[in-house]
Amino acid sequence: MFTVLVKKEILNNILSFRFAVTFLLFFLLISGSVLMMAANHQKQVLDYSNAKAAYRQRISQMRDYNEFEIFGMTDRRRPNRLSIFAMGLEPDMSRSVTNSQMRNVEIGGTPYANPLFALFSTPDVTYIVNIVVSLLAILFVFDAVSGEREEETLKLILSNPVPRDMILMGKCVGSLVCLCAAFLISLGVGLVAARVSMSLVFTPGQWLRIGILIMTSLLYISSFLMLGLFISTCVRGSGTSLMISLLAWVVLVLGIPNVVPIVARQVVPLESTQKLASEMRAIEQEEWEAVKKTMRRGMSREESRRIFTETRRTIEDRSEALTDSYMNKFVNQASVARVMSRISPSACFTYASTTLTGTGVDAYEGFIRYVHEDFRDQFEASLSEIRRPSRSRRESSDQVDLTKLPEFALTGPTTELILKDSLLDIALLFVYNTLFFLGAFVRFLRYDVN
Amino acid sequence: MLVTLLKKEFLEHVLSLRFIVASVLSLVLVTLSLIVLRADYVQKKEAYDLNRESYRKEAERLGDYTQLQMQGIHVDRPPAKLQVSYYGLEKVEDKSTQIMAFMVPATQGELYKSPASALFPTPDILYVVATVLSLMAFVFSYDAVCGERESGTMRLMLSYSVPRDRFILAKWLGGYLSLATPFVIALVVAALIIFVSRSVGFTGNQWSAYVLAAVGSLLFIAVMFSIGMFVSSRCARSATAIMILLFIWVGMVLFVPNVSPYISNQVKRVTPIDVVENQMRQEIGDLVRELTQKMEQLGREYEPQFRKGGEAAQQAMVEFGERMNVIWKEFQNNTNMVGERNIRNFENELNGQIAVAKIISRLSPVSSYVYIATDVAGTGVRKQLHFMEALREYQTEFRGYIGRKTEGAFPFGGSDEEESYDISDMPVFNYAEEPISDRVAGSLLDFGLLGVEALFFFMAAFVSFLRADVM
Repeated sequence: MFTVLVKKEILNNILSFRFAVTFLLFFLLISGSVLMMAANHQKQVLDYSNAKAAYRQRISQMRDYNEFEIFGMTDRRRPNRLSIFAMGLEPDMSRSVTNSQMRNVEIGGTPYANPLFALFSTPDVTYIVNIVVSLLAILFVFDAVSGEREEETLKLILSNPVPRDMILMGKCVGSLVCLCAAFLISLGVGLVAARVSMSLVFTPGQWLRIGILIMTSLLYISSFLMLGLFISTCVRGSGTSLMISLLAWVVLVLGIPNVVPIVARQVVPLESTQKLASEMRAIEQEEWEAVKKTMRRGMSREESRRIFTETRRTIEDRSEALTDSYMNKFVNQASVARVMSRISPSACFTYASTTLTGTGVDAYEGFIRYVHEDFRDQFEASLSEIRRPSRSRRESSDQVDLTKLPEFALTGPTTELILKDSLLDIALLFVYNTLFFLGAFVRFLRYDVN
Repeated sequence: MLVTLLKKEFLEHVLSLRFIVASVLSLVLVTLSLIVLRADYVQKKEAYDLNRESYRKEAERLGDYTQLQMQGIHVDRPPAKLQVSYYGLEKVEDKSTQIMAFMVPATQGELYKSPASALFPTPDILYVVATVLSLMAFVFSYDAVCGERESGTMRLMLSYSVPRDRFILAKWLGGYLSLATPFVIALVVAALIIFVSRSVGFTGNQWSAYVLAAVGSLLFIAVMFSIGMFVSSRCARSATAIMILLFIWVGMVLFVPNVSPYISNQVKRVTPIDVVENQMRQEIGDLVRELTQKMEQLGREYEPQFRKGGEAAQQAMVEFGERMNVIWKEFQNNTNMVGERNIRNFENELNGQIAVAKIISRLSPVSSYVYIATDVAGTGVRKQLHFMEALREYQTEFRGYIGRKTEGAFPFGGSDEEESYDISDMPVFNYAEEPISDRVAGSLLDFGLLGVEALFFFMAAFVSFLRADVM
């Protein structure tokens, strides 16, 4: 009985014009997006290695410690391969980082320099799932119950000995199978095409994350299906259910997730980063002023060196205290935004998918910490090894050995941690699914078929 | 006749559920977005004023002009007032620049940006119009023709002496007006909120920008509505029409604009910013080396004369200082030229890429609309370029000022001889927005495109309808 119902639903869907359009859109958008983002990733990797080679060459020609003091060292993170699926904060994490003795950490421009990148959203797979697929999912079922009532086929079915719960389950499973199959086929084709044309390969760990990302996407799609079904069981006409579905979709996908971050900025105000930078410069100025007073003429070179190093350390410590407290407030603001926006499944999905690909809020916080703490510390620690005092009087300054410079080697969080971080959002998606399904179930049991 | 038809259309729409949904969405989203972004503007403006103050104090504390020319002064990008309705590139957090005498200004990267707002688009009026109202335009128009055909009312209507052209014109006007009215009301409410909140306080120019951007929004909605009418008059069933329109909507709103920068990034290569920065550092490093060599050489040249002591040494000291200054000025000019050349090259390449992306993206009216709204509002690509030019002009001014102040003074560490340090007469950076006439002139192409598209699709709908089957 159940199989017959599901089969009927699936056939019904597949033969409909609606499914043809949905499938075509999925196919074009998803596989196109995978290919395009893979091409973009390839270009980013190429640019990264070119820049790195040019930089290595310059560094190898650097002999003079004074020059190193002024310019310092620059490095940046390797492009994240999983950003193909969710760009997230990747453009910001691809900025170059410059450490020098003279100044605090300096952040360079983003390789996504074209302002149109900022003006428009990134069309990656999660964006398409988040907006397009959810819309199509809700439109897929908006008339599942109300439409059948209008056509009076519902009355006909129920005149047979078919339990109501079976009908609803059949509808759920039927639409879910169709949509998920369309999604999986499109994504699969995109991945295979990218593998063939650009030899895009992933490690097993990355595959695991991609697998979970796909599961999360399916969960998200199904939550909108359930919502559509629920709305369809709540109203009597399919025209009404179309409008209410659209309204719900606009609020959940376009409204809440986008408004919340700005509201969070009001709820947890954070002073501007420019002010932080200014305070840090003030500390530097103050310390160097103090040094100027203690310096005397005829001080030995070693002694002035020592004072220099000590002052540098004091400045580092004081700035670090400042950035630490700023970072805490910053993390706080981000988590408030996150908690507030979770009333929308769309926000849950965005957070879960960016966490899984390592381009989300957690990864970003880790990146900032690494830049300001670990990487800076490594740089400071390497300084004593880099400097080689000049042996003869003829050389005006000390020599420099730059082979000891640290590499920007930010190892992202472990797969285990990533799974743990995304668990709550995935669980919430599950809860939304259950809630909407139960809603639809209860409404349908008491639905008036006349 | 037309008036009667129009009235009928309008009433029919107003009494429908979709009108309620569209009105609620327009009013609630526009007002909510304005309130939220107004608060955001106030916060940004406060931070901007505070920073400006502290930058000034920082410069005052420096103590001498040599320090000032080395450290420079920081300048932030002031928040644009129209960001309350058209946020555009105000989203970009890199907004602080160090203005130095010997380096072409470039904005510094910023990491502490709210990651949540970077993950999601900003819900400004632009976003509401481009996504929600464009969808609503399709929802209002998908059954305009085919719906009446399905329900059989069209046959009835045309059995009277109603000319077909009147009929479709009334359909267009009635539907469009019923969609535009709640939006215009929402815009007026938004304008009132701006008007009463003293913290934003638009000037005359800003009001005209607001109105012009609103005109752009209405034009864009007209384009989308015409497309909907066109599809509706081509399709036999309204269910088919809505699916086709959704397909078009996804392509136009969610795909074409977003894909364009990625495609142009593949087609038109730009030297990566890292490589440019590296190249600049290398060239400046060479200049620094040259400078040190020249100064050491000069020192060695004058050393014997200094040793002599007496008047001759003093004479030599003055001469030495003058020559040192020449070398220093030359270094400043050279570093400026290096920066200028590299950055200009990069910007030219980038502008080429932007141009390609813009052309590709204009396949969709949404992009034209985005360019109109952000450029007219002064938050778009145009503003970014204009602001960079303003920064460069300010740098020239700043250099001139430093040059006048350090004229004849010994360039390095000569704070003892220097006159008292007072920067009250230092030029202040006051960013003046590009005049509204220029901004509009720059958006004429997009205005024209939208006008042509609206007309074209309306004509297409018109022609299709004239020959359509009423059965």
